[in-house]
This record gives sequence, C-alpha cells and structure tokens, in this order.
Amino acid sequence: MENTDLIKRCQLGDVDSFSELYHLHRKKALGTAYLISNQKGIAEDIVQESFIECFRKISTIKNPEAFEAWFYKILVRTGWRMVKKHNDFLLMGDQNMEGLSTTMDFNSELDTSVTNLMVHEALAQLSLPLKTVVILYYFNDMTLEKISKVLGCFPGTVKSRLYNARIQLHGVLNEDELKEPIINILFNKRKEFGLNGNA
Amino acid sequence: MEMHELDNKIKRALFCKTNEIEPSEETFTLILAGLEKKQARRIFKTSYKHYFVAFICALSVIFGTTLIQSVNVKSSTIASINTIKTGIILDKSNKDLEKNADEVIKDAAISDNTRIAKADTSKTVGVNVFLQTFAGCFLFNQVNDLELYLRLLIIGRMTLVQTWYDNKFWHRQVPSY
Repeated sequence: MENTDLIKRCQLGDVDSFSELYHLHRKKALGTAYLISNQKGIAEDIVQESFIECFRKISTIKNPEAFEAWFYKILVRTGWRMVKKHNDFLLMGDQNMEGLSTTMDFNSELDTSVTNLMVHEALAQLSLPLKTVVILYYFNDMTLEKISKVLGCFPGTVKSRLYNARIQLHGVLNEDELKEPIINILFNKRKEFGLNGNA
Repeated sequence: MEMHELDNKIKRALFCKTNEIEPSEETFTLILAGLEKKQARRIFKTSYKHYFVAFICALSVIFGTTLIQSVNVKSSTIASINTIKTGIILDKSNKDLEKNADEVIKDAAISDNTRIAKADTSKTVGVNVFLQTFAGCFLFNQVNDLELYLRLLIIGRMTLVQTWYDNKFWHRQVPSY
C-alpha cells in the first residue's frame, strides 16, 4: 500500500494502517532520534512521543505527500525538547562506547571505526541546530527545501547551517587526523593483550 | 580533506552508529497505550484553547469592573449635583418658584433614583457578563468536536441575549430609593 493511501486511512482512524505506517518509518525515525539524543532510552521515548502526536494530529494533514516533512518536524521538536530536558548533549556516553566496542572488528574495520569515532566526536561538538541539519541531510537524505520545512526556517538558513557544520567538522577531523596514529597504537596494544571488542 | 570525502565519512559514521540500535516490537503497543491515555485526559489537558478562554474571561472581568467603576462615578456625580441644585433653589425668595423648585427637586430626585437604580442594575449586568462568559467558556470548552469560532459565537450570543434580557425586564423590579 502506498504512503498516501496509508495516511488517508490513518486519517479515518484505522489502527492497522497506522501500524503499517509505523513499521514503514520506525527504523529511520529511531535512527534520527538516536543521532539527536545519543541515548537509546531517550531515542525510544522520542519515537513513541512523535508517533503518538502523529496519530493524534494526522487528521490535520491536507497534503499526504508532505507527511514526511510534517512527521520529522514533530520528531525533531520532540527530540530537542527531550534532549534539553535531560540536559544530555554528550555523544559518546559510556553506554555508546560499550556498544561500539562490542560491534567493532579490529582486523578489518579498525580504520573505519576510528574514523567513525572521530566523526561522532566532531558531531558532538556541533550545536543542536547544526547537528540536526547534518543528520537530516546525510542520514535522512533530505533536500535543503525539505529540511527547511522540517525546521521551519528558510532554505538559505539550512544551507548556511550545513556549510558551517561542514566547516566545523572539517576543522575537527583535520585536527584529529594528526592524533590518529596515537589512537591506532592504542587499539593495536589492546589487540596485542587480547582485548578485542568481541570479548 | 576533500569535501566529498568528508561527506562520505559523515554518512558512513551516521549509518554505522544507527546500526547499533534496533526498534523493539513492544514500542507500538506502548504507542497505542500512550495514545489511549492521552485521549482519556484530553479534556483536562491545558492547551492554547484554555489560555484563550482564560483571556476572554480576563477581558470580561476587566469589562465588568470598568462598568462598575463608571457606575459608581456616575451615581456620586448625580448626588453632588442634587446638593448644589438644592442650595441654589433655597436661596430663591419667590414662593412660587420655590414650590416649583421643590417639585423640580422631587422630580429630579425621583428620576435620579431611577437612574441610580438603573446604575445598580448595570453593576449586576457587569457581574453577569463575567459569570456568563466564564460559564459559557467552561461549558463549551468541554465540547471537543465543536470548532473554536463556533463556541465563541455561541458564547457571545448568549452573553448579549442575557444582557439584553436583564436590561429589558429585570432592572424594573429593583425598588427606587
């Protein structure tokens, strides 16, 4: 069933269609929420709140094709509110470090993981609006126009935020690249002592 | 570092991070439960509509208070004028005039009393305006499906009709002094 039909059915109060709509968008929504909040628990709360709000207000959508932008607007705002509420802007908490280390393959993906780590650290240094633009642009594959609708600002503002975010990320990653050999030594030492990530 | 390289790095890092988290099957059940809960307490939830209603109530209070104050000023002014009139008329030496003046004073007093009575009724009207608006807002706010402008229209009409009714019939039952 197409997205538009699903939305129309949801507007009539069909719970099965809503379930289908949820299953269609849940992974992307959870990913976005997780990237905004950096906490699994908060991310799940954000997704729950957003879908509840979505189902309550879905009857107000006049153009079902604009559903995605409308839904992500709810999600982003809920995410910002919850992040501010929990006052947690840290990207790499202890929980995430553990999660990352358990899924890390030291033999083949060491470089990728280190790069990812650096990117996450760089992202953590961005302000929430800049980070959101980066997430929506790179993770959700949204156009600048769509992001401007989600964030309720001009496309020029989005463009400027994206530019600033890239510049900042570029600066941080360039700095970190100088430190990269030290990180590699650390991981190699861990490997030597048998402390691989799957342990 | 080239920009496209940076783009790829960011993209890969974001997708890699989101692979860590998987949506659980229980979430949808929790969403439905939350939805039911929110719908159940929808009536009592404070929303912008409530603030709007509170604003109308505040306006009606101000309106009622202003009305009462203006009525008080009006009645005190009438009392002052009565006193002055009496003073002037007592100084007259002509009996006929004095007699007429008494009648005039009496008439004026009666008419002023009626006006004071009317003014007192206006006080009640002021209070009524507030109470009716408040009650109307409260009652109609309980009807969730009714559009806001329709609610306001009904409240406005009710208030107007009630005020007109009070002016037309009720104030005549107030005894004059």
